[in-house]
Amino acid sequence: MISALPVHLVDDDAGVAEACRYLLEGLDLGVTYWSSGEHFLAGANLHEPAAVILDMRMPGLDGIAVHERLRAGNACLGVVILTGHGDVDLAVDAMKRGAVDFLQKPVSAEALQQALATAFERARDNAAHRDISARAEQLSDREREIARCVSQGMTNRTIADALHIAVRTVEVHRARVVEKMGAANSAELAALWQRID
Amino acid sequence: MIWNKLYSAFGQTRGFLRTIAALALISHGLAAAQTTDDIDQPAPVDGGTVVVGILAPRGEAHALTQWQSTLRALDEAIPRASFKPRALTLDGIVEAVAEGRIDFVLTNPGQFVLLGTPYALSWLATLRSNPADSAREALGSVLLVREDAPYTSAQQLAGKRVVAVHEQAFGGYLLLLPQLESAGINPGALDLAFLGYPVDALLYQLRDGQAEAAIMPVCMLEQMAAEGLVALEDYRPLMSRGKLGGCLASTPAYPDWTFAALPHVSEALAADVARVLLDMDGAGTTRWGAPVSAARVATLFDDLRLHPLREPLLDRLVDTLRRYWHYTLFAALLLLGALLYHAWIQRQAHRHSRALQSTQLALRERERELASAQSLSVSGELAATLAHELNQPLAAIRHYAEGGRLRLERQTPDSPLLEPFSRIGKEAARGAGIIEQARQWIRREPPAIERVALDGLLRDAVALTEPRVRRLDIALDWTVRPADLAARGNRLAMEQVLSNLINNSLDAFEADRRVGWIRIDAGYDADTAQVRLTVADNAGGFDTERLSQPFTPLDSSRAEGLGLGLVISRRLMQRQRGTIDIGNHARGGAEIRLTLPASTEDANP
Repeated sequence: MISALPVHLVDDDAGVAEACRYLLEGLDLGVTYWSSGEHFLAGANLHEPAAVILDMRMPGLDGIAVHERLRAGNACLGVVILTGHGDVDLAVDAMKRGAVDFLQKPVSAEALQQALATAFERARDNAAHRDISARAEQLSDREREIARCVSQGMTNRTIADALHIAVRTVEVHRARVVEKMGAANSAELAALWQRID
Repeated sequence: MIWNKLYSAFGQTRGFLRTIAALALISHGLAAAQTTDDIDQPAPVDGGTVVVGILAPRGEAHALTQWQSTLRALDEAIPRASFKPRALTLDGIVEAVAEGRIDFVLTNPGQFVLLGTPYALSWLATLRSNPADSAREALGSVLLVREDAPYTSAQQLAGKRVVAVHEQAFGGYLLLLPQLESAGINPGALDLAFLGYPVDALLYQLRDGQAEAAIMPVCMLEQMAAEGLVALEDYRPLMSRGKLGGCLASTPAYPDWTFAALPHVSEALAADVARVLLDMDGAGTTRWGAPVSAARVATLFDDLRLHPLREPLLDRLVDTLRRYWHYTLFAALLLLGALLYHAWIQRQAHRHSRALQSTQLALRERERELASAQSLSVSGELAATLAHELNQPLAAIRHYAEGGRLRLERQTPDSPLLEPFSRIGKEAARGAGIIEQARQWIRREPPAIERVALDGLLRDAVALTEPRVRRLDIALDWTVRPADLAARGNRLAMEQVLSNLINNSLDAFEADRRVGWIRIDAGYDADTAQVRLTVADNAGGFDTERLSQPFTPLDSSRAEGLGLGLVISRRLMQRQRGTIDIGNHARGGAEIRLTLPASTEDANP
């Protein structure tokens, strides 16, 4: 099993939430409980990779609405929605909007575990993507050009010809780009750049 | 004949109609009669063969013998005329006079009074049967029984056979009738038989025991005895009033017979006849005197309700109709018209009430439909709510069971409690599955989306709640702009939503015992291409708690009711791809806003 991330649990029904927390802790997961969508959005660190379990039916902001806000805020959380009703329309809708899973209560430990595993993966992915993007933001226009060329597998000479600059200049830029992007070598840089481009 | 046809056409309808038609018939018949009279106007009779109609109580031969001297005297004295006698019965005289078949009439004063006025008879002379007696006291009746009969009073004749000539015979039944009545005898109690002329037959029946009593003219018995036909001492009178002209009598005396002229006889001839009659003198001849008053006869008839001047109502009506037949015909037509008009109006009213009835039925049908949809919605919503509420504890149970099992597994992998923990989780899942199945089963098909004209929708929704609105005295108004506004939705679902909202308002008014208004406005929002509906009232509005969670079920502000109205309304709106939003407006009342996609279809594709 992939290493665990923190789990946020958002449910207005404290009894059910407590039971769910008991189950999640049985799976050795760290759980933070929120009694409403509003509380969760206001109090949780939405940029730290984590999974969130949203109850569908809640007064005020319901599960769908909270999910919507998370998307709008570029949060990197992996989202699992729990519902009392197997409402197919709502489930399809939520999955389209990027929810990891849509589970019907009462959910089994196994199903929950699988959903959370996917959510963690998604959260890490989201976080990595966000990191790479942030580093790419710091590159100069010229460096970004060269990074794109490298990711396409071009040699230094080809790049120099294409950009009408000296091969030496290409070599200097390329070394700086690899360093700024935190890559070990040109091959890793190419892999990183392909994820965001 | 048109009237006959009309009459038969109406024959099967009410008596009223029948009367109208009958009146029309009478007036028509009278008109025809009148016309005939007008045409056949004969010249006055002044000579030639002159017919004298003679009442013949004892038969034709007897009459001719009795009046022979009188007719001969007339023939001799008036050469220009030849007098022919014609013996007639009572009915015969009436008929002959009415048809003008005779020129003079010789009859008893009773008949003269009956016929005199209607047929304008001229009174020429009164008979003096016995010169010693007064002409004013010559006629009467006698009620005879056999001498050996057990009867001592007329009352004892009840149920016995009593014979008379005719119910109109003056010197007979007619004169005796008041006497019988004043003696307290109902003529109906007697077994009366009218045998007609000759009078002799009555006495023979009495003699032979075929009758117990006979009503006869006075002196008839004495005459027949003098002729040797019967024995005077074999009979005695009942209700005796002594002797009249030497004869037995049971009644007072009335004037003697009368000689009269019909109106078509010339005045000269009538005067000549009168002169001859008054001049007749000598032994063996009939003697005539000046006419005496028939006033006492008229009084008698008055008592008997037979007087010709006191005609029964019907006769007078017929007479009036005859005189004013044009007006009668017009009135009858007018009445007929009025009747037809009345029938037409009634038919219209009937049709109208039928239409009203069918509208009422349709409305009731809608009410039923709405109620059934509402109850389905309620059961569906209850099931959904129950499923949700039950699902929560089941979820908790499963979570605890699974969480417990995971922990136990880690500490004691071979614990015998692992199996029960696992079972608990599975049973909870099974319970939730059953609930879900039930909920799916109750969940209804999504409503068919159709074009819904707002005008008709609001009209019907308002009509459905109208009785309650009227009872609570609420002013319920609605507008639709533009008038042909239409939405895409489900008609029944929209009716259900509107009726829920209106009833919610009415509940609020009723709970606070308040009177107020409800307004429903429908309009078009061009920006979103949506129909917007607003339902507002002044019943106080929602409290803040309710506003924060308006669609939570089982949380009614009412004492009774499930608080599902708004929940159901929201679900129904969602299913039609519409929205519902509740709030309060500034004037102290609720305002519920609904939206639905507008319909772009034509009203009449």
